[in-house]
Amino acid sequence: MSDKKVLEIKNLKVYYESGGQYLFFKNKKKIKAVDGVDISINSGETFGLVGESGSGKSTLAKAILNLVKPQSGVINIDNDNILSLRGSSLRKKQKDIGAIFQDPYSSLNPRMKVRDIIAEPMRAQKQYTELKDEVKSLLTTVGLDQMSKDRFPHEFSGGQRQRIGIARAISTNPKLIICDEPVSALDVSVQAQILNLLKNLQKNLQISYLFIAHDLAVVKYLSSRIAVMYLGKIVEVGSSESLFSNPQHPYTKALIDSIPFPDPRKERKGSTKTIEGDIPSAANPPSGCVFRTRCPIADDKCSQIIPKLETYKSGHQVACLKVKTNFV
Amino acid sequence: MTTKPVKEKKSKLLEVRNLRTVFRKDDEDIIAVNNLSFDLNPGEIVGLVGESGCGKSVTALSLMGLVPDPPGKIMGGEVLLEGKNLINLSENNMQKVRGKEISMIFQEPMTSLNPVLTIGEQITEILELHGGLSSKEAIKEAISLLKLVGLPDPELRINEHPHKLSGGQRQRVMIAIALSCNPKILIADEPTTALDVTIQTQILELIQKLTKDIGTSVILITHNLGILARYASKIHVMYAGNLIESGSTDEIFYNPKHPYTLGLLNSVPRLDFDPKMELSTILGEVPDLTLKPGCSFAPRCQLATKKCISIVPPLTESKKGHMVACWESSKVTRKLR
Repeated sequence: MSDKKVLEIKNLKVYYESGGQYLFFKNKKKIKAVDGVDISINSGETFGLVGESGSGKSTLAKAILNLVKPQSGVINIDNDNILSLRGSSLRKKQKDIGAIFQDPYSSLNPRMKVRDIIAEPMRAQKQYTELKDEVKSLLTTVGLDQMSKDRFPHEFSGGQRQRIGIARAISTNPKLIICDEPVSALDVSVQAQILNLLKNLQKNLQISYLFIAHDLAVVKYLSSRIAVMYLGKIVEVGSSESLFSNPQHPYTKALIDSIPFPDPRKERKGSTKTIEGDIPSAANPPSGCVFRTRCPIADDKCSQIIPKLETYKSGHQVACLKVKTNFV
Repeated sequence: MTTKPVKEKKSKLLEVRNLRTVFRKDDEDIIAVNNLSFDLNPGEIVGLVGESGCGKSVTALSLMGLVPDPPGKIMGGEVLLEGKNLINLSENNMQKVRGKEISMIFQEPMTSLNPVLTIGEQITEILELHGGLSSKEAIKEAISLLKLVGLPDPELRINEHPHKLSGGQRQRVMIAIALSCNPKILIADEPTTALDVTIQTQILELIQKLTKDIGTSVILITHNLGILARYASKIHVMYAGNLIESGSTDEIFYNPKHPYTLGLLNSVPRLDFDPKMELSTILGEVPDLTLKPGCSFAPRCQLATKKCISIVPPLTESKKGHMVACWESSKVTRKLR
C-alpha cells in the first residue's frame, strides 16, 4: 500500500431537485443528498463508507461513477478531475473505475451470455481474439468454471452472479472499484466466500475499494479506513482500529452499539443503547448539526453551529462540538 | 423421525409434530418442510435460523394456515395450539385463530400494509372483526396500541396512509396490528431485515418489551445469528427443510454439534475478528429441495462419510435439551476465539 491517492474528493455537493406542486410555477425543493464531502482513497486500500439508508452513500458512489451530475466540487482520479473531462478523455479515465452492485439479480442483463457480460467493458479496447482469452482467465480468477461462459445469468445462484459481476468489474483492470452493498443480498455462508474473494483480488491486483455497506462488522473486516455518513455529511473518519476502539461521534457510537454481537453471554451483559427516531428528511434538514434531533447529548449550541470536520490524533476526523477534550 | 420431549412440561403453548409441507412443481415434489417438530412455551422467544430456501418462511406459513394451495400442501404432522390441531381446521375456523391466537409480522414493511387504506382503518378492521368493538371504541383502542408501539403522534398518524411513514414506523404499525387482539403467539418473519441497524435495535427491543408486558410468545425467524444471541432463549437451526439442530441459545453458540451450525457461526464477520485472517466459509450453495438419500448437508460438509450420503441422520439428543441430526457430531467442536 502506498500513499499515492487513487481518488480524491473535495467539497463535493450533489443536490437533487424535488417537488413543485404546480406545473408552471415550480417551488422546487433542494435535497442535499451529498453536502460538502471530502474523502481520499490511497492506492491498494479499502475505504469503508457506512451510514443508514438516506445518508447519501449511494449518491456519492453514483457521482464517482458519473451517473449523477454534482452541483460543485472536485473528483480527482489519479489527479485528473473527472468533472472537467469530456468525451474520449473522460471515457479513458472511467475505465479506471469499476463497480459492483448490491442486487446480483437485476445488475446482470438477462439476455446476455456470461461471456458477453464480462467482455462488454473491454470491447472498446481489445480485439475479439484477445477477449476470448481474457474472459477465460477472468472466470478462473473469480472462481467460476469455464462452462459458465455460454450460460445466461438466470442459471446461476446469487453468489455465482455476484462473482460474474466482480469479473465484469475487474475486466478493465481498474484502479478503484466501487462496491455498493455487494454482499447484503447474499446468504451468510455465501457472503463469506465473496468477502474472501474481494480480499484476495485486492492482494493480487492492487485494487482500491470504496466499500459501501450498512453492516459494520463486514466493513470492519475489509476496510483500513472508514467514514461514517449522516444526512449527506461525513461525521467521522478514522482508521478502522481507531474508529471502533475509540468512536467519538455519538452517531458512530450508536451504530456500533446497535450491532447485535453473535455471543449470547456478552450480549446479556452489554447494554442495548440505541438512538431514538428516524433519519430526518434531506429536503428539510435540522439547523446546526444534522444529527442533533436524535443525539442524546445535544444542547442549544448544536442547533446553531454547524460542526466542521476537525482532525484529531493520527488522522481521526470528527464533526461534533462535543468531542471530549482529552481526545486530541 | 420422532423426537422425544425431554420432560413433559404442563404449559406447552404450541407443539409442532412432524410437520411436512410439500410443493408440487412439474410432477416433482419439493419438500419445503420435512418432519419438523418443536415446542413453544408461553412468554418465550424462540429463534428459527437458516439460509434462504431452508424452509423458515414456509414453516411460518404452515403454522398460520397460509400455504398457497396449489402448489403447496401440508402432507402430514400436527400443529397443536393448546392441544387443538390447527391442520384440520376449516378455513372459517382458521380465520378465528389467525390474528387472534397466532399473528404474524412480515419482512417487508413497505409491501405488507395496504397503501390505499389509512393506518387507522387497517388497525380498526381487525379490532372490529375479532374484538367485536364498535368503530369508536376501535379507534380509541387503535390509538392506544400505536402509543404502545411507540409511534409518535398517534392521534394524527391514524389518519395517514402508509407511504407517509418511514420503514421503521411502518414496522411499528405492523406490530400494532399483529398485537391488536393480544395473540398468544407472534411469528416475526425476518422483521428487521429491510431496516437499518439502529432501527433494527429499536424494533427488536420493542418486541422483547411487549412479550414481557403482554406475555406473548415469539417465533423469531431470521438469518442473523447476532439477533438471536441477544433475544432468543432457544434456537432451532434449519437446513434444506430439515431441523438439524436445536437447543438453548448458549448451547448453540458455545457448543454447536452440527457442522452447518458451526459453519454459520464461523462465517459471520465479527467486530472482534482479526481482519488479517480469512473468513471460514461453507463451500457450495444451498441445495434444491427434492428428496435425496442421506443427509441434506452432506454435499457441502467436510466431515461427510459414506454413511452420510446414504442414510438420513435422525435428530438425537446429544445433551439434555440439545438435539442434533448428524452422524459425525462428536467431531464438531467450536474453538472460541
